[in-house]
Amino acid sequence: MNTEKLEQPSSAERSETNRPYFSLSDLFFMVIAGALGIGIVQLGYATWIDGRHTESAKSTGESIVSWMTDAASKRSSTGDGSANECSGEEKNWLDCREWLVSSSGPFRGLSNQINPSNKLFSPACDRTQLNTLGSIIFEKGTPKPPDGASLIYAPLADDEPLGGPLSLRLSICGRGFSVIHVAEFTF
Amino acid sequence: MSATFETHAPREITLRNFVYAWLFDQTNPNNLQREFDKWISILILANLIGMLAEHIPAIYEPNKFLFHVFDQFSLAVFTVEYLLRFYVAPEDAEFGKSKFPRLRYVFSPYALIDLAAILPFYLSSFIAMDLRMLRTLRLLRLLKLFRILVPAVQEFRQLNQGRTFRQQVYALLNPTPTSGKLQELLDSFIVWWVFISVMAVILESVASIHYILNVQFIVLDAIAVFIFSLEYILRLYSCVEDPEFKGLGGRFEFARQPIVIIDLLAIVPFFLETMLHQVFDLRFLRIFRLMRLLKLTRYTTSTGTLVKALRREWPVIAASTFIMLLLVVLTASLGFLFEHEAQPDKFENIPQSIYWAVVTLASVGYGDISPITPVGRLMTIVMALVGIGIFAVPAAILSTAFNDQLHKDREMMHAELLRFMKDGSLSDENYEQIMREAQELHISQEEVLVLIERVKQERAEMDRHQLPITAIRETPEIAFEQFRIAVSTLRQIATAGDRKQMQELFETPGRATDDERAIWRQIDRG
Repeated sequence: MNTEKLEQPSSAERSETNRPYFSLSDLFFMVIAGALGIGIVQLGYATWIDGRHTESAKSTGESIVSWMTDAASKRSSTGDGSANECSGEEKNWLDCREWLVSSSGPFRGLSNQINPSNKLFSPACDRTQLNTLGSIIFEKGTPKPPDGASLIYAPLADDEPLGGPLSLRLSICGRGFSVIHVAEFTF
Repeated sequence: MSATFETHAPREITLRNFVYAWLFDQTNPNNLQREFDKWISILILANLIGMLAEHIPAIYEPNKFLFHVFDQFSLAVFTVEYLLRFYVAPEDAEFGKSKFPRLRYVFSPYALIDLAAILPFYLSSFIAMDLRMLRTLRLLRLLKLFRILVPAVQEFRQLNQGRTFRQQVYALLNPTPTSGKLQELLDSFIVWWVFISVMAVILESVASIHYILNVQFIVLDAIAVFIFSLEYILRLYSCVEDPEFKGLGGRFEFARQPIVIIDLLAIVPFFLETMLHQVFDLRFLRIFRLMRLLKLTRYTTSTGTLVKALRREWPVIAASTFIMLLLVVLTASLGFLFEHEAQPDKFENIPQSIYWAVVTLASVGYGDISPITPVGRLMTIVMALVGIGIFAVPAAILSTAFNDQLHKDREMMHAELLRFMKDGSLSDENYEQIMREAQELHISQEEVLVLIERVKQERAEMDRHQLPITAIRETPEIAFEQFRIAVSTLRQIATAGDRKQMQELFETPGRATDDERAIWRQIDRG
């Protein structure tokens, strides 16, 4: 039973009756506690800002997915669809990707949402390459043998032709270089 | 305890004073006032959580109706509370003396806060109000917490008058005679945050939820770390008030306590992950945030009971563990011997066979590795049968020891009750202490009341066989008879004992008082 603490004599009755209400050592500890509190608030704020940037990157990824899904459905319903660098037998993924963020593309001026100086697109989230943080990752899914029901994803090659439908996965290289899967779709 | 109930029973029972006595009277420790306050506080906090959740479209949009129902329910409860308080105001000592007690209540600070919590909703029925404004005004409901906090702070300040700052911090963080209700509230606050942060860690592991609530989880974790870090540093600061941890060395000693190490482990992952996430992949540390659940061990004696049971039965547990290990190694070796040739991929070596042996002996039987040779199967039958008994021994020992320890703790409480009830009654202070301990030992209030009754009977029985002090005090006739019995007993002793030796002993200086010597002489002469 935890009665020892309840039954012990009150601290005031112990020997330290001549101790001031607030001593220098109290001040020392309170300064430490205050500094710790400020430090946590700062770290928490920095993490929150990172989180907001990640959210922004995710929503950019969602917009791209939305545009690509829309483009894919238009292409399938009207044949070739609107002429752009992302449709047609002769076009490849690199052409499409560059066009997407070019001045004539739907995402002009788009930059890395976590750190604008980092890469916008990258093949993988790589801790050894710090500039991949916040980048958008496209992966191509191929049916997994023998059932073929599930897909194995690998980085989408720059020279991947865009003639037929592609199973894609868009991810974001998030905080701590963790991959955040945004969506799996067909383009 | 009947005396306690009677003390607080209203003199004249009317519905109004009945409602006041059972729901609002703070001076009566046996009514529902604390429970009522507790549930109102929980509802206020649930409102806060609801208000925060309303700002997350992924949660709010699909559950709009539920949010609306909850809001209506909260409003109804707060309105009923306000009206009840208004109704019983004349019973309250604070307002009862006034000529217009209800009017006085309406203009009291707490009543204004209560009104502010519900009024915006009713006003919105008459005046067109922006929905966002209405939501913001609902934050006023949080002010209702002052009704609980302010009296607790006042009580704490009163109890700790003249004490140093450090002593006050110690009293705030630990249960002491001067801690009061504020310490209980702080404990509850920390326990709630432990649950919230652990729930957040669990939900974070669900990818779809984490995807939607990423920022909210970040904020929750930062707040939790802020609270737990301040708690840690303040415990470290004030621990020297405990006689066990005096001085600088005491602080180190305190920091080495298992529960304090747990406190540290509950906050360290945040700092490591935040500061080093660019350098190392520290996502695995997130799971260590579940260690926060261990913080709850401070508020329960169950783990302490288990540790005590383990310590007490350690030699027996160690012996049975040793036999268990022998059996595992023997089974694994025999399995390897009989099955290696038939299944070299599965029984590749003895270490690999140990996995199979443990799975078999513990009756888990995954079935991924199994013997196929006749000898191997025969050996498995024998070893599995032996294993059932041997593997069950430590569990049985531990379970019995745990049960015994709980029993001992209850016996200690029984002894304590006997000590408290020397005069046959139990003071309010001692009753509260017993109830607190009973809560720690997971004993229900009914059980405690039964125990108190048993102790009362035991005490009465003891009084019957020894000196009925209470009866002697109250009835001169009994006192007279008891005195005569005592004198008669003294005469018997004097007659039975060796008179000469008794005389010598009484005459030896320092052996008896003058009064005792005089009584002896008187009886000896008679």
